[in-house]
Amino acid sequence: MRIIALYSIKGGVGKTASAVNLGYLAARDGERTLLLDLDPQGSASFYLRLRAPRKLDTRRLLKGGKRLVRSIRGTDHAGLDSLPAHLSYRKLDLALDARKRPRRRLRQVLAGFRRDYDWLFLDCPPGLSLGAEGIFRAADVILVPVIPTTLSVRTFDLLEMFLAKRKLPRHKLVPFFSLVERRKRLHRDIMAELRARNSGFLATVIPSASDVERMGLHREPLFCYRPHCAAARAYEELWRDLRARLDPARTAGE
Amino acid sequence: MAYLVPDTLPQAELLARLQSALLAKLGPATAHDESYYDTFDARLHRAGLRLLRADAIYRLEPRPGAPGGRRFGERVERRPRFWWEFPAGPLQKALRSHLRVRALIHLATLRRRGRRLLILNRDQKTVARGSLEEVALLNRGRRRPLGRVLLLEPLRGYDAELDRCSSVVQAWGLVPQEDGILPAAMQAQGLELAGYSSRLEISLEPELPSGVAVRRILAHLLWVLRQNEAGIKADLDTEFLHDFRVAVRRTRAALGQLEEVFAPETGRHWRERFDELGRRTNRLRDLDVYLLRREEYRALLPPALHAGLEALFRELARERALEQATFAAHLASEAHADLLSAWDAFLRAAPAPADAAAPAAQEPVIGLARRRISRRYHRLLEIGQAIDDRSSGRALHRLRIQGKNLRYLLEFFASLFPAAEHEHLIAQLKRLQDNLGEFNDLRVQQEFLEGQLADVRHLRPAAAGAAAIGGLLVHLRTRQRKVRSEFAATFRRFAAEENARIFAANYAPGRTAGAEG
Repeated sequence: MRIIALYSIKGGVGKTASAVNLGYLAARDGERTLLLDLDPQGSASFYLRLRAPRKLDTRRLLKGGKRLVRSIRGTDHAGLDSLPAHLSYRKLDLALDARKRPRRRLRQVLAGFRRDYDWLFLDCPPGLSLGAEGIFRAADVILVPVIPTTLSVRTFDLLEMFLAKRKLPRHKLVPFFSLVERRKRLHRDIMAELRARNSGFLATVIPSASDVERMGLHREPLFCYRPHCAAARAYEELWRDLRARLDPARTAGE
Repeated sequence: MAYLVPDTLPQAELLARLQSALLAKLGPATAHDESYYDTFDARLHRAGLRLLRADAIYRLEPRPGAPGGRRFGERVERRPRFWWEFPAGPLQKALRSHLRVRALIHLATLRRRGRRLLILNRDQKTVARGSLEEVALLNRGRRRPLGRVLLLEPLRGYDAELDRCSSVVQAWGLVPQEDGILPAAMQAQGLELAGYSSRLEISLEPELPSGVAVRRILAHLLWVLRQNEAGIKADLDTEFLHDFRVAVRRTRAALGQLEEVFAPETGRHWRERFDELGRRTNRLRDLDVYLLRREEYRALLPPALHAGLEALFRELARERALEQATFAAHLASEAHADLLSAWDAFLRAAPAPADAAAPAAQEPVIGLARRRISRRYHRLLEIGQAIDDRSSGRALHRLRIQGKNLRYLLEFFASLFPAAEHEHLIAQLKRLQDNLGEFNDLRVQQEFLEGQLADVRHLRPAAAGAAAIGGLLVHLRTRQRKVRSEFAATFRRFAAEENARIFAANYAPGRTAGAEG
C-alpha cells in the first residue's frame, strides 16, 4: 500500500482537487484506492457527494480498526472508496495531544487499511500542527502543490526548514507547481528560480483552469465532465509521474 | 442481489416505480453474454467463488450468497481449460490453488440485455448500482428466456440504503434470488450446481440390516462410477479416471471386507468382475501420474538432461493416447454396459430375508461395522509392529493395503460414529498412509523407469533419454530411503495409546447402542 499525502501549509493551493483527481485516476487504473478526507472543511467529501457518517468523529478516526472501516463509503466511481471528513477533525490536535505517542498514531491507523487498498490519498488540512507531523511520518510521499507566487514559495521554504528541524525525512517531500498561469511572467520566473534551487519539483505543471474550479458545481472528478481538457491531461501526467516514482516495477511492465 | 421480476409487472410500470420510489437514474444500455465455468466437482462453487467470462474478460469473484473476498479479473482471448493455460498473474495463482489438476467445464452461457441503473440519494450520490435486464440461456445457438431480472449491487457504506431498496422492490412482488441466477440457468438445462462430489457421504442408521446398508454403500459407489464415465471418454482431465478408480477400489473393498452379507460365491463373482475393470485402468493411470509429474521431474534434473526427459515424456504421451482410446472404447462397449446394469439390478434386488449363505445380512449394521473395523485395526497394528528397519518393501506394501481397507471401512460407516473421534482417527490413519503411500509410489516409479530403461531404443534420442532416466532413478532411490527411515516414528504415532483408547471406546464390538457419543 502506498500512502500519498496532499499537503500544504497554505490553504487554497489545489490540494483537494489534486487528491480527488489523483484518487480517481488510480482507481481507473484498477488500483484499490481510498481517499481519506482529513480536512474538517470536508471539501473532498463534497466533491464526492459524501456526507459524514453519523458515527464518525475524531475519536473513531484515532482508534482505527473495524469501526473506522465501517465509516468508509463507496464513491460513485468504481474502485474509489472514501473516508469522509468530519467537523470534529478541527480538534484533531487536541485529541492527538491527549494520546501517548501522538505523532505515530496516524501511521498505525492507516496500517489497518493495508489489506484492502493499494493506494491511500490523504487530503490534509493546512497548517503545521501535531496532526501534520503524524501525516509526515505516515506518508510515503508528501505531495505539495505550490502556486508560483512569492508567498507560496515562502511557506514551502518554511516547510523544508520545519522538516529539517524536526529531523523528519525530507526526501518524502515532492513539490509540484499548481494553479499556474503561464501568461503571468511572475509565475514563469518563480518557477524557473525554484527549479534551479530545488531539483525535486515534478516536471508536471497543473494549470489554473476554470474547468477545475467547476468541480464544485459538478461534484465529481474533472474526468467525469471534461476528460480531455488541458488540466485533465496534466493530472494524468502527474499520476503517471507519481506511479513511476513509487511503483517502478509495475510501470515498467506496461 | 438479483430479483426476479414477475410477469404481472409490466416493464414501463416497473421503470416508473423505480424512478419515483428509489430515485433511480437510467444509465446506458448493457449487453453481455456471460459464460460460467467450474470444475466437474464444483471446486470453485464449494470455495464460495464463481468464474465467468464476459467480453473476453475472465472474472473470479465471490459467488452470490457467499461471504465477500478478493476479486480477480483479466483479459484472456483464448478459452483456457486448466489453470496453467491462463497468463501468469494473480488470477492464475488464485485458480491454481482451487483447480489443481481439474479442467474447467462450461456450465452455462447467459445472454443479458438491459439498462444500467443508479440508485441515488437526495445529494444525487449513488448509493447502489444495478441493472434491469432480460436474461436468457444460450444453448447451442438457441435462446431460452429465463425472465426479467433486477440486479442491485451494494456500494460500500450504504448497506442501509440497499436494505431499503430491497424491501421496496420485494413489496412490489420481486423475488430475491439468494444464490444469483446461475442455479435457475442450470436447472433449465436439467443440471445441478455442485451435484457431484467424490467424497463419500452415505447416511446409515445403526439398526439398518447389514444387507441393506452395504447395498446402499455400493449403490452410491456405482453412481460415482457412472458420473465419471463421460469425463473419461471425453478425456477432460485426469481426475475423472482417478475418481472412477477410487470408486472401483472401494467397491472391491466393500465386497471383500463385508463379504459376510453376501452368499460367498456371489461376493467372489462381483469382486472378480470389478478386479478386472480396475486392471483395465492401471496403465492409463500410471501414465497420467507420470505426465502430471513432468514439472517435478524437470526440477529434479540438471538442464543438460531435460532433452532426454522430454524424449521420455513424448513416448509416455504417445502411449497414454493409445491407452486412453482403448479404455474409452471399453467404457462404450456392450460388455461394460452389461456389467453395470447387471450390478445395478443386483443392488436393487432386496436381500433374501433369511439367507443361510449370508448369515450377516440381517444383523444391524452397527454390529457389522464395529466388528469389521476392529478386526482391520488390530490386524494393522499386528502387521505394523512386526516391521523393523530390516523388513522388506513387501511388508510395508501389505501394511499399506491393510491401512487402505481400514480407511475405506471408516469412510463407509462414518455416519454411524461420533464425527469428531471419527475424523481424528481418519486423520491419524492418513498420516501413516501418506508415509506408506509415498514409499510405495517411489518404488513403483523406480520399477516403471527401469522398465523404460530396458526398452530405451524407443526414445529419441535414446542416449539422452537413458541419461535422464538414470538421473531420476538416483534421486528416487535417495528419497525412498529417507521415507523408509521415517516409517518407524510415523507408525509409533499411529499406534499411540491415545488412538487405541478412542478406538476401544467407539469401535469395540459387543456394544449394543448406536452412535450415542
